Amino acid sequence: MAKKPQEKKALGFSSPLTLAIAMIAGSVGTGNIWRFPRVTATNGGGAFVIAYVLLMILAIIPLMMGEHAIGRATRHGLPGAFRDFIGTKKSTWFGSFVWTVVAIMTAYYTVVVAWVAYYFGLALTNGYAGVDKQPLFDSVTNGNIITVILFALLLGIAAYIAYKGVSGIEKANKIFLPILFVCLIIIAIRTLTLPGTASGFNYLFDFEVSSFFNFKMWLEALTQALWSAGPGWGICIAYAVYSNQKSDIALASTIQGLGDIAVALLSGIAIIPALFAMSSSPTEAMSICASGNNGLAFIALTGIFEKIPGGQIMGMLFFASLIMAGLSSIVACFTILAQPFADAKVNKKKSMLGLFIATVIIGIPSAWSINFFNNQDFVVGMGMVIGAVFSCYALIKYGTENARTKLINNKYTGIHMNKWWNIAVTFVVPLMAIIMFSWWCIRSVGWNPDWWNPFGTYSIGTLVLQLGGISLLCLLFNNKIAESAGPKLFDNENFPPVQDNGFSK
Amino acid sequence: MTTKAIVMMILILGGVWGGMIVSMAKLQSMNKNQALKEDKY
Repeated sequence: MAKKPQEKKALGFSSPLTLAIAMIAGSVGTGNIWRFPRVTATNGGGAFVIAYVLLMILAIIPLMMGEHAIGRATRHGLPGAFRDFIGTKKSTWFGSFVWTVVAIMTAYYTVVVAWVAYYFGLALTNGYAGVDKQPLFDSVTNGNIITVILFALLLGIAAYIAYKGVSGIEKANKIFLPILFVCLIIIAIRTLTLPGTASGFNYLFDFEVSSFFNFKMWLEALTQALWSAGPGWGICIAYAVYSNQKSDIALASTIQGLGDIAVALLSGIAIIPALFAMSSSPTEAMSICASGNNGLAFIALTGIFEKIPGGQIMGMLFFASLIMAGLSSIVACFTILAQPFADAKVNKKKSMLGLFIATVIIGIPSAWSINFFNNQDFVVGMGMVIGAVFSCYALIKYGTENARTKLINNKYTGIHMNKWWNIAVTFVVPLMAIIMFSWWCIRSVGWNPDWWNPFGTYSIGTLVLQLGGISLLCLLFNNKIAESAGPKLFDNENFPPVQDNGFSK
Repeated sequence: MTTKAIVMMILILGGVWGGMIVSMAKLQSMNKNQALKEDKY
């Protein structure tokens, strides 16, 4: 019998399941682990959880399916993806805008992971025991050279993993996700054994019907859903570039969305009941959550870990889970950033090194000053909302009925999407995004008397300056970027095969 | 815990985690069938 010739490694993710897992890893981040428990506790508990899950299933997951289709259909980085899916050269700038927002996000988001790594070190050495928590946090987040070094190190690790391409991402996720889940499960189990956690569980899952008539609760649930799963920053598009032509899009995106919710719920179970158990009253627990992400994770929770028997280990596990969540998201960011350079046939080593250096430079101000960090967090958050609208626009321009019946409901599909998908992408998500963007702008005016100030931390002026500036630059260089994105591979009907762009193995 | 909280916890966690695991199993099984078809031809 003739010997089978040695098979070359196929391009792209080794299976649809590893792609779905990579997408979960990319979506899951600090938003699931520290933001979700905080906003749940301050926005009605059980009602918020139900609203968040409903919005994810009815709106966010459908959009993620659409973005997945865009990536698989075009096989290009963000600029080329928007160019080819919408079908006009001038549409390239949508992708360039989102790419630039991701570049800024990569830089400032890694600073958060640096803080977490710092605190992991403190947990390991019991370094925050007996120490005043607020000044400690202030010292870590302002003018701390160790934070800057950790920031650069974490960026380097993520850049290296992304440099290794799909196989690097698959190997890394085999480490990141299991550690993340195991850490959170252990913390959740320990929380269950603490006396007095029943009130926390009741708060997390019980609800009053009247809470569903609270408009602000729905807005907060929408904000959490959009920012946590991450449509609008290109992860679905970027990872789908390496997806098998013949695998199911709807199932993969459903797994991604449910995985994102699953981690959030696990974090909620791990943190909220512990918070309620160690606080003198539910009101005190909720006021701790109202102190913000940083107040909860770095100040209140470290204080709680100090009081609980075995709390030092809980602290280590909590910060370890955050590092895993953060790193996997930064790897996804570098994948997004590298793709347009691969399209333009730029040398792989040079492009990754250049991206690493650029993100270090952009991120150092955030690593040095928490005010600058907060500003970047605000601007990028709004940029992501705009990115989600751009994705909806691309799907509408292509034709949502075509997108649904030809691309998503293809012959390899396991779940068939009905017309709700068209409605979600055409009306529901854009409307939600406009409401959310407007609401945050109105809040910004409420927070700041100088809301017009372009150098304000949370001002509308800073949004106009930075996002407006990015838009102008993208429009200015649109033709050049469009030409560099490589030939159009999409014939408007069929998925092209995975391309060998240097990162696909 | 209240009865309502217990029921909601089971429904939400069961739905989300169960849905995720079932979807993963379905995706894996579809991939295996697809691979078998391609090997056959």
